[in-house]
Amino acid sequence: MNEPVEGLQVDADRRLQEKFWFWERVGWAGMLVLVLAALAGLTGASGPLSSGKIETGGASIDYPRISRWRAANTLSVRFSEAGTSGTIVLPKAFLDAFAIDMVTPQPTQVIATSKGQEFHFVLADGDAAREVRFAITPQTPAFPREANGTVSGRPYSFSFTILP
Amino acid sequence: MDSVIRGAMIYLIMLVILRISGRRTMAQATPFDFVLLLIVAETTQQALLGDDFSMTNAAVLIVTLFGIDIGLSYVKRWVPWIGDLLDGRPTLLVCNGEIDKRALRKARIDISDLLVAARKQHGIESMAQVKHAVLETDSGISIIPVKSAA
Repeated sequence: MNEPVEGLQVDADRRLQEKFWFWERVGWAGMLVLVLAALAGLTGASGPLSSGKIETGGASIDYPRISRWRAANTLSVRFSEAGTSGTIVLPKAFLDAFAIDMVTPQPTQVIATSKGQEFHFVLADGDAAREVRFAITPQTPAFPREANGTVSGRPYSFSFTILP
Repeated sequence: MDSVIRGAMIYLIMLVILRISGRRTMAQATPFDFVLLLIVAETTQQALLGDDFSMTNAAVLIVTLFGIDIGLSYVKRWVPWIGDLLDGRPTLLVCNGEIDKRALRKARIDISDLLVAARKQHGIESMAQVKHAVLETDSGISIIPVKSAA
């Protein structure tokens, strides 16, 4: 049916149509990949790959590896080392990308430093894990950026991405 | 600036998704398809507006969307291959009474869909009375009956 049909004035192009059908199916495969990526967490919000966890010895940090612009998220720090105080420095790169909406429990002191902001917390005595949560909202799209800070004096580093 | 970029991006995303979802989508639209359309509209609205519900934002977005649409209509006239890319071309499904099964399969159209169009347009009773059937770029099916059935 590639030839023009006698009497029928129709602007059909079978070759172009065949090409389109091929690319249409490639598009469907792309849609499937996107859905699978979303299920894996590669598009943020939730899913196993959307968040990461790092251990620094005295504390662990659950951080959003992939976030979505303006979608609320959480950064949590679990202090496992014995002691009644805990400190975390959130680096400037992180603070530029995320707004901190709320911190629970409230820090006793927040110090602005050249490297970022230093949050001081009072912790219950003992060596059971004590958690501090930062409710955060991404403020700007960001493609892999490094956050280098310290938690109770020990350095940590993670990379984060904010999808538009 | 943000609103214009959002509007343009959403327009592009919708254009690509609707194009690759195929013409079948509108050709055999069921009540569920309309519900799906409403859900898509609601989802898109959130992405378009973000947290800015001002009239200014709405006006900027509406003008952006219509502006792109008008602009693309001119681009399609000036550059025909872009028109082919965005709108496609009509597809012959039946030619001189011969059913193109591959075209039907690829376009996800059944004989029953052709018969529905044939009944609606010409009161045709069977495929034997169909000379040509064309899947149009607007997703409709046009039926040209054999002379005796007209």
